[in-house]
Amino acid sequence: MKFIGRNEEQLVFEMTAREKSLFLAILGLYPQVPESHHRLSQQVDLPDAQANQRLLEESVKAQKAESQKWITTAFKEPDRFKPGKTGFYLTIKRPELEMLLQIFNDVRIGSWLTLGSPAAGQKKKLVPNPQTAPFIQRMELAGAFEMFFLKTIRDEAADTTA
Amino acid sequence: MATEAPPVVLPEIEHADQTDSKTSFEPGFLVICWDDPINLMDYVTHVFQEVFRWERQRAEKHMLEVHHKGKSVLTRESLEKAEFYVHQLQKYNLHATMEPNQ
Repeated sequence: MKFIGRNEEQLVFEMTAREKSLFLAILGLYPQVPESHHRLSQQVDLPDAQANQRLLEESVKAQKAESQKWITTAFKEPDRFKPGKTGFYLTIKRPELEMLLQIFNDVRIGSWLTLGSPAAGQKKKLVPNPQTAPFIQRMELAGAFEMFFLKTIRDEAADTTA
Repeated sequence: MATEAPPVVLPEIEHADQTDSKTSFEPGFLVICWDDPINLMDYVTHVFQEVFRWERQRAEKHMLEVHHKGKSVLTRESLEKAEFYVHQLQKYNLHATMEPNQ
């Protein structure tokens, strides 16, 4: 996958058919992290703690529903993937990059949670077996897309400040 | 030596019945980001930049604090604002909470 160029509104990436298929497969796994994963506070005696926790979960749920809806509609748009010489040109609007980062990170973290939240050192030692292999693969692939888009954002910021 | 005439209009003295002292002096709530073994360092830096509109250098300083010390206090805010920031950080799946500033 390669960053090709940008204008004020959108960015264009080049990807092979295989990368496109993996990209869409990972997006299709969203969401993976349960709404109840996050706690508003470690203190139990915050004012209206239960009500605020419920509000947080509702807000996360609504945001995830919105992102999921975006995935199902956005990547069916005819101009989204245009055939190119080596595969496809993918067009992403600048604000959509943030959504993609959140989505890939959700799949990455959700897979990690399913694997039992292994500590940093243990993660490298994860031995794939029929139960764990799909989640290790998802975690790694989502991480690779996440790092790619982070690098694009960083390079873009460096270009505009240079 | 000339003597000054008293001012015709005395300046009004405003009594500050309602000031913003609530946010300035009340203990408020700390928005804390905790270390976890899964979020990428670059991702955490990016999220801090997005949520707080910080320069990269400041965001990196807090990210490194999370990484090395296990947590970083990102800001102190009123209840509502602290909730807002925690929501924003959790939208990105960062391990963030708000704690009373005691």
